[in-house]
Amino acid sequence: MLSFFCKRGSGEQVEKVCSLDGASAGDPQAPGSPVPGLGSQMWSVVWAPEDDARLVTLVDNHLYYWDVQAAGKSAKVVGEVTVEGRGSVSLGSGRWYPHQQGSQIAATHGSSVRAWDLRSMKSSWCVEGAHMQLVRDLDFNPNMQYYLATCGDDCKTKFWDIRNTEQPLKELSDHSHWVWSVRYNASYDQLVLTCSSDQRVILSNLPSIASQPFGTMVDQEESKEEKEKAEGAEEGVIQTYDDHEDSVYAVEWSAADFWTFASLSYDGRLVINKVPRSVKYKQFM
Amino acid sequence: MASTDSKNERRRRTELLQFYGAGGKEDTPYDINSKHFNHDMYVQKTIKESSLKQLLEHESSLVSEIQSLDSDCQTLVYDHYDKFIAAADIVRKMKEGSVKMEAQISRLQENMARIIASSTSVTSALQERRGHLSRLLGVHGTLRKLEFLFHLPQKIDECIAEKNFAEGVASYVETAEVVHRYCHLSSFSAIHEDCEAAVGRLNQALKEQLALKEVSARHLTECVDLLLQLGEPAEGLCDDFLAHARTKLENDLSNLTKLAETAGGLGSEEEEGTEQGASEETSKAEETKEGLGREEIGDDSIRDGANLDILEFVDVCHETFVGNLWLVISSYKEMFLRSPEEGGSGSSNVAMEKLRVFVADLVEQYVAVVGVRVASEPDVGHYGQLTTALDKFHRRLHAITQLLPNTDFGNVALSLVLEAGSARCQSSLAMLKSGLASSLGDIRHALVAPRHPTQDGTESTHRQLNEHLTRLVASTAASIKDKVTALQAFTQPKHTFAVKAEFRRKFCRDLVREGVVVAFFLHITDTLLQFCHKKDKDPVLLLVLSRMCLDLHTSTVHYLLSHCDEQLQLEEKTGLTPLHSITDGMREAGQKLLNHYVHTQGSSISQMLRRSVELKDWLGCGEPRSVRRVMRTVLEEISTMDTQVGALYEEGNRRDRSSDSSRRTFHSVSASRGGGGGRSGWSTYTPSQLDNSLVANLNKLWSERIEIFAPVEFTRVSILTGIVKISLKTLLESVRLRTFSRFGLQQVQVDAHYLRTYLWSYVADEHVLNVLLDEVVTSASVRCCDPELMEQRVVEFICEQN
Repeated sequence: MLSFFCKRGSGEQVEKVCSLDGASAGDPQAPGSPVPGLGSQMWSVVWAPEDDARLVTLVDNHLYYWDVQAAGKSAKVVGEVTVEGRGSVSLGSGRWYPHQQGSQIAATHGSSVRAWDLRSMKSSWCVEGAHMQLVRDLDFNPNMQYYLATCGDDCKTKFWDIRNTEQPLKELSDHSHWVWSVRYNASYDQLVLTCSSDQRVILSNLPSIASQPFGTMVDQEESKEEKEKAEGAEEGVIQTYDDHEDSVYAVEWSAADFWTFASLSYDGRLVINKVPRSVKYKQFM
Repeated sequence: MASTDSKNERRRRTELLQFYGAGGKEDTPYDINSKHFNHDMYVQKTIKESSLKQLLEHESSLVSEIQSLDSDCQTLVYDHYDKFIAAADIVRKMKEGSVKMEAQISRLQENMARIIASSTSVTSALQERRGHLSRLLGVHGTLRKLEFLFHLPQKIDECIAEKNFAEGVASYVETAEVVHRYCHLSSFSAIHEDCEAAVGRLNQALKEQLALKEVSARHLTECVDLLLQLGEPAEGLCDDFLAHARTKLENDLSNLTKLAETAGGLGSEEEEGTEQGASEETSKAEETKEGLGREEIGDDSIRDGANLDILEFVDVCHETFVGNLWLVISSYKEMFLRSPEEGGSGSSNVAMEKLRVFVADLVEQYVAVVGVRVASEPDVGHYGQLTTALDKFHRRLHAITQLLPNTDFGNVALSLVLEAGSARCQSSLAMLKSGLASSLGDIRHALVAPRHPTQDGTESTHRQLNEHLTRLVASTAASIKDKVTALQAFTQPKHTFAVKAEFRRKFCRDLVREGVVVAFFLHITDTLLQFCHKKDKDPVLLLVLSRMCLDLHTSTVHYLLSHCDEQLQLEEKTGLTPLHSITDGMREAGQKLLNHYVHTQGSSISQMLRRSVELKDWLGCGEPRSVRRVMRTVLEEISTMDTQVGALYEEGNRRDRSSDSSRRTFHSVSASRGGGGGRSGWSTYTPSQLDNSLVANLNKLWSERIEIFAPVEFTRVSILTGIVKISLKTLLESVRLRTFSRFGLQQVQVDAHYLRTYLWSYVADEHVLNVLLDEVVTSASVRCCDPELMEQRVVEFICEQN
């Protein structure tokens, strides 16, 4: 069973929007116990980026596309996909495709990444064997239409062009254990955060696969060497944060400030960090 | 004088004494034979010591001795006297003989004087007659010469008709001077004109001969020589000569080219059957048969082309082309460059230059032809024949160089040899590479096939893996050694080209050492590294390969390189790839393979653990009665890996903590549940204390961070520790994703204890094991809805049941 709440007005009152419990509402059980119609494991819930009424849940090897009306009026499944595969590999985390009006959603599935077009509920593309083992998380480049980042149990972070999924564009192996999450900076997409169960958070600078800031395209050719000098040197890890004492499971950029991010580790510690000042200034120059 | 005498005597006596040895000891006054004999003392002694009877006997014996000595003395005196008388007789006879001889000799002298007188008288009587005779002989000679002159033109014509040019020219040259000298006389001028005409005809006939194509080189030389004697200008002649020689030599060359191409074609057509080849051969032979008789050698050799090896080919070259070239050069030199001082240095320089250009051109073609043949020679693995052929080739060209100053065909030949050498080196490298690939393939199959029946037999796995390893390393080493030995054929001192420093440097350093041995080692490193990226690899293979890298790193590369240097006599090492850069690469590759092995094995166990945690219903399970099956499987897998690793790697160091006694203290601590600040946090939990995960966090502050996928060392313990770390970390992460009931938590507790009990023997540092397992139980208890741990002794009891 899953319930949604929203905060209204001055913030004192939290209101339940709706609850998703499938076709038949089962009696409430212990948290996390099997909910009829939803399966045993709910791994991911994602809201559509531009539409409050749409969301997708990933349950076992099923994907449910919900239409949720405000104030708990109704919540119904408008689309469903079941991934067939050997064994019972469940879907991991999902992300909406931020371009094309959010018409696609991608989710990790075992060692692959799959994407579906929500208009037709059909598979649109797929990265088979993106990682040697489980893929833990994925993120789309907010500024480059086809670029995708994945991370997984082989301690690697990979960057893909979804038009050509044979070879990754780039591979990072800075972590020494599973990488649990990868996030692009919403504005400066050369800044990428990863967190891992080796208790570290790593901030990387990847100008080689980032979108070009406006203006640099014009004088690209004449100052190419200079640019390489300026940016090529800093390609790679900017800083490693080892403030955590246990596995770090989540990392997110701040929605308000481009330069702030938070990471959450198993021991319940939430660490908020800022991008180093020198890096920050370099982006403006 | 007396003193020296006595000295001498004494010396002699001492020598005699030394010789007779025992005599010295009896040198007393009592010895009757001694010099120091004192008859008084002797008598007294004898009388004192002997009885009467003995004295009587002694006396009689002495008397008899004295008598015998007397008689001996007498005979000696008689003998001497006889000999003296005989000698006196002989002297007297000799005196008489010499008187007779004197008379005979004086008679002989008289006779000799008479003979000398008569002989002088005879000589003086014959003097006059002899002068007359010699004058007559002189007149006869002159008449003969005149007759010869009159007949000369006819004779030359006859010679032309009989094609006996040599004689004609010889007779003309002999007489030409005389004719020229007397041509102002009318009778002689007629003869002169006739002679000139005849010589003109002779000249013509010789030139015709020269123009004919089929004349042999020797014949040609003769003609030109004769023409030269007739005073033809050398310039035009040498051009003619060279042009003619060129057609012939080119003919030879084209024959050789055919041969070379046949051999090349044969190499490729070998499988297609010799029938076709043979028919081609015969048709070719027929074609050439229609040609000229001179081509017999070429004709034959083409027919034999099918079974002509390179040595024979070079011999054929020598017989035809090189031999003729040699002949041409030497005869040319003889004819046109005979006397550079007299004939004017300018013209002979021009002639020399012509020859040089001519020879250089032909040799270039020749080298090209031989190059084709050498290139088509198949690589059979031993190069004795090839190098002998090359040596012959090189030596002959070198000889031509010596014949012709200011040329350097030796270098051209040397570069061809080098080319052949580098081709062999390349093919050797290719063979080594394919050999490596196939032996790797063999190992792969061998590892896949018979492993199942022997998996439980520790000893056999041991032996098998070791066997594979040694076979792989040994075969690699042996093949390298073989190749180096085979290539050594090029550097044998019996070959002249091998002695050249330039060749040695280029061949030994650049081609063999760098091009074959070092390149092969780098190839091994690359090939093995590729196994890190292949997906369908067998982990045991990775293990064997990593060990192979280590072996190569520690000894084999070093040994092989020094062996190679020794064999090739490389002393100067500058500019060569240093040993350590290869061995470092090997070590790095070994490390990567080993890391990869650990990761692969770790992840295969991880997979097992992860799925077992994910698939179990932790909320609905009953009270734990036994360790879960998967844990036992994990242990079995790890012990199998331990066997495999143990077969190839040494034990390595572990920390003291893993000793048995410390384990016991650990248990007692956990049993008494004392010491909240203890290292092993989980054991301090009491069922009511579960919330204080703070304690664990505090502990973590003090303990060092555990690097999970850290590089491992080349030891058994380090490898196994790596695998165990990866596996347990996975277990930890999987547990954190689940929710547990009380019994689920207790099951985890049991499993963790089971693992702790049995895994300690595999890890280097038990501390790591404890931290990770504590972490697992803590995580499970945090994810538990009703956290209550089991009694420690119940846990132990359950574990002991298994």
